[in-house]
Amino acid sequence: MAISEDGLEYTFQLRKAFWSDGSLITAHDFVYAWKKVLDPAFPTDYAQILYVVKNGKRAKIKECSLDEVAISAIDDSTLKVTLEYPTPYFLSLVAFPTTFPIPVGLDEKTPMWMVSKETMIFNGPFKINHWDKQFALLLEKNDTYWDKEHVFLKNINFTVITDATTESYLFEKGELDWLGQPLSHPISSELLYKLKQEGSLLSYDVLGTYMLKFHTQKEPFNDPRLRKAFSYAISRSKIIKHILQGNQQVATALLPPSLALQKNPYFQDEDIDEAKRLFEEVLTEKKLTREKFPKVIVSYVLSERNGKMVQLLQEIWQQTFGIKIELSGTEMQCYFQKLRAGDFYLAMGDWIADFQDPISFLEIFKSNEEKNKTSAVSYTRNHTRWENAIFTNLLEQATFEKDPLIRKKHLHEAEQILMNEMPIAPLYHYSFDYVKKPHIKNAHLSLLGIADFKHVEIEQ
Amino acid sequence: MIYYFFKRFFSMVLALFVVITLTFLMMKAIPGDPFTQEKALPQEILNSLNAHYHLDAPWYEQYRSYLFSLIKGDLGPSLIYRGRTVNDIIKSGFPISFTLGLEALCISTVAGIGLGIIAALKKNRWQDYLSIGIAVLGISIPSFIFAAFLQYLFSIKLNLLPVARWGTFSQSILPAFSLAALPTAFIARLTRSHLIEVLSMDYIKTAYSKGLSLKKVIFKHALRNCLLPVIAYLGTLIANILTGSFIIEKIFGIPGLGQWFINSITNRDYSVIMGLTVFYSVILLSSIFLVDLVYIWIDPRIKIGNQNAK
Repeated sequence: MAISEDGLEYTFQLRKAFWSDGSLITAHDFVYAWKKVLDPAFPTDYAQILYVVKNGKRAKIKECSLDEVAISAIDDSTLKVTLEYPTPYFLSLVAFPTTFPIPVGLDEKTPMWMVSKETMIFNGPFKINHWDKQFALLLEKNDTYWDKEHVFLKNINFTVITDATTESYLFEKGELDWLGQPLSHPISSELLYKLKQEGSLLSYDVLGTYMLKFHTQKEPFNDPRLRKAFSYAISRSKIIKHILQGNQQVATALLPPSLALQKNPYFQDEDIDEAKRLFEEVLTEKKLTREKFPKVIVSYVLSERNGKMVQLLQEIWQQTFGIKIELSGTEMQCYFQKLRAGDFYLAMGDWIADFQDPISFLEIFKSNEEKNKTSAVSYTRNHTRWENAIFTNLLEQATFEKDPLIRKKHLHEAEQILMNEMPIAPLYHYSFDYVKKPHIKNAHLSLLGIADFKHVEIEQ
Repeated sequence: MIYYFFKRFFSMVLALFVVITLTFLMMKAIPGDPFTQEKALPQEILNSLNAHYHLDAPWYEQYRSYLFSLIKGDLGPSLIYRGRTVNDIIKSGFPISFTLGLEALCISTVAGIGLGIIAALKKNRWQDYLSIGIAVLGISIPSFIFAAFLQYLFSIKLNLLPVARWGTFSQSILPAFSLAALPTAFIARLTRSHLIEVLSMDYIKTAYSKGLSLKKVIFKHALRNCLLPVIAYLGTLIANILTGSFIIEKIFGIPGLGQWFINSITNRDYSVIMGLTVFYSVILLSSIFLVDLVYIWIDPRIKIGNQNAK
C-alpha cells in the first residue's frame, strides 16, 4: 500500500486471495462494492463511512454520477482511492464492514445472496456451515482463506440466548465457552458479582462514552454554569462501583483514554464544592430561589440499569442543590423521537466510535449545515442543540490539516471548548466485560468492540 | 348449514379487515420509525431507505399496496432483518411455538379437567382444597417467575433437565409446563364450578338411580355439560398458546414466534407487526370458529340457522 505525499491518494496492492467459491478476489470487487454503497438507490444505513472518498457524498445525494467517485481498479490487484481531504484514520475506516468487497455482479445475479448459506460467499478465516436465523450459527474454517495455516479452530458454534440469567446458567453448566460483550448482552449483575469474587471476570476497553445530554436552548440548562454544576456534582465512581459493577472508567473528558488529547482530566469527578458555588452564583444572579427553580426532568430509556442510574443521579442532585428532580422513563423509540423533537431537559445517551480517531466523537457536535434546509432533521446527531462556530471551525481546520501535530492541537482545542461549555456531561467510558473458559487463547478484541477469532487456539 | 358457514366466513373476513385497518393506523400513529436509532442517519440516507421500502408514499398508498400483496399471500420483507421476509419468519418460528403450545395445551386440558373433577367430587374436603390451592397458585404466580423457578430447581439444583435451548423432547418439558400453568389453573376452576352445578341436577340423580357407576355418570353424563365453558375458553387459549409466549421463549432460549410479537414493535418493524397481527387474527378467528362447531356437536340444544332454537 502506498499513500501519496499529500495524504489524498491511497494505492492498495491486493494479495493473491480467493473467494470461497475459488475465484480470485480482485480490485474490481472492491470498486463494485464501494460504488454500490454510494449508489443513491442502494439502501444502506452506513454510506457516510465512505463520504471521505472524493465525490462520495455528492454521488449519494445525486449531485454527480457514480463514475465520478474516485475509486478505481488499475488492474486486477491494484486499487486506487482518492480522498476529499487527508484522512489519517482512513485505514481504520476501510476495516469497517460496510467497506468489505463482494464479487462483481453478485447481488444482481442473486439479489438475496446474503440470506442462505448456499448463495453466500466468504473470504475470511471462517465460513457458515449452518445457520438457523435468530437461533444458532455454526462457523467452520474456510479452506480458501489466504492465511489458513494460522487458523486453528475447526468450528465455532454460536447460540442465540436473549435472557442473561439463562445464559449464565448455560455457562456454569459448561454448555457455553464464552459469555458477555461484545458477543452478547452485558453479563447479569448477579453473575458479574460472583465472577468478580472468583477473579475470573475479564474486560477490555472500548471506544465508547456514556453521557448526559443537556438541552442547551431551554431553561434552565441554557446557562453553561448550571450544566457544569450538574456535571461536577455527579459521583461517577459511585455509578461504576455500585451500579455498573464492571471495569468501566470514570469519564472526565468526551474522548476515552486511548484517544485522549490531554493527560489531565478536564474537571474533577464529584466536585461538590465547585458545583454548589456555580449553582449559588446562578441563583443569586437570576434572583431565583430553590422553590422557584425551573423544572428539571431527567429522560431515559426504560431499563433496569438506567433506572438505577437515574435514581442515583436524582439523589445526588437533590442533596447537592436542594431542588426537586423528576424522572421520566420512556420506551426506546419514543425516547429518540422526544430527543429529536427537543422535548427534554436532561437525557441519557452514549456514543460508540466507528473508527479510531478523536473526530469520530467530536464531529457529533459540529454545527449542522443542513439546519436551514430542513429543520425537522437538524440536530439529529447532537440532540443538545449546542452550536459553537469556533468549535466547528477547529474541526474544519483539523479536517484539512496535513501535519498530525497541528491537527491534534486543533482537535484538543475543540474538546477544551466542549468541556468548558459542557453541552454534555461525560459519565463513564465503556469497557466490555466477558468471561471465557481458560483454555481459549488468542482471541483479539478491538477497541471498536469487535471480537476476532482468527488466531484462537484451544489449549489442551 | 351451508348458509351458516357462508355467514361465518364472511364475518371472519370482515373482522380480519377491521383488525388490519386498525393495526395499520395505530402502527403509523405511534412515534418512531424502523430507522430511528441513537446514531441518527444523514437525511439522504434516510430518504434512500424510505424510498426502498416505499415508506415515503402517503399512508393510504402504503395501506392499499399492503392489502394487495396480502391478498396474494405476501406479507412483505422485514425492515430490520435484511433479506428476511415475514412469511419466512412465520415459517421458521411458528412450527416451534406450535409444538410447544400443543404440549402445553395437552398438559393443561388433561391436568385442568382432572384437577377440576377431583375438586368437585371431593367438594370441601382436603382434595378440593389442595387442587384449588394449586389452581390459585397457577393463576397468581406470573409465568416468568414460575419458569425461572422450574429452571432453577430442575436444571440447576436437581440437574434433571436441560437449562434451555430447543431441539430435543427433554428441552421442551420445562417450557411446556411453565406455559401450561395458567391455563391448567383456569380450566380446573371452570371445571370444578360447573361440575358442582351439574352434579346437583335432576338428570344426574336419575343416572345414579338407574344404577350407573360413578365413572359412567361423570364421564358420560356430567362432564359433557360442564365442558362447554372450558371449550369456549379453549378458543382463545389455542390461538394464544400456539403462537408462542415472549417470556417463556426468552427464558428457555426457544426460537419461536412469540418473541417476534414484542421485538417487532420495539423495532417498529412495520411489516412484521402487520404480518404477525394478520397471522394471529387468522388463527384466533379460525379457532373460535372451530370451537363453535365443537359446541354444536357436544350440545345438541344449540341449533344452527334455526330461529326457534331452545
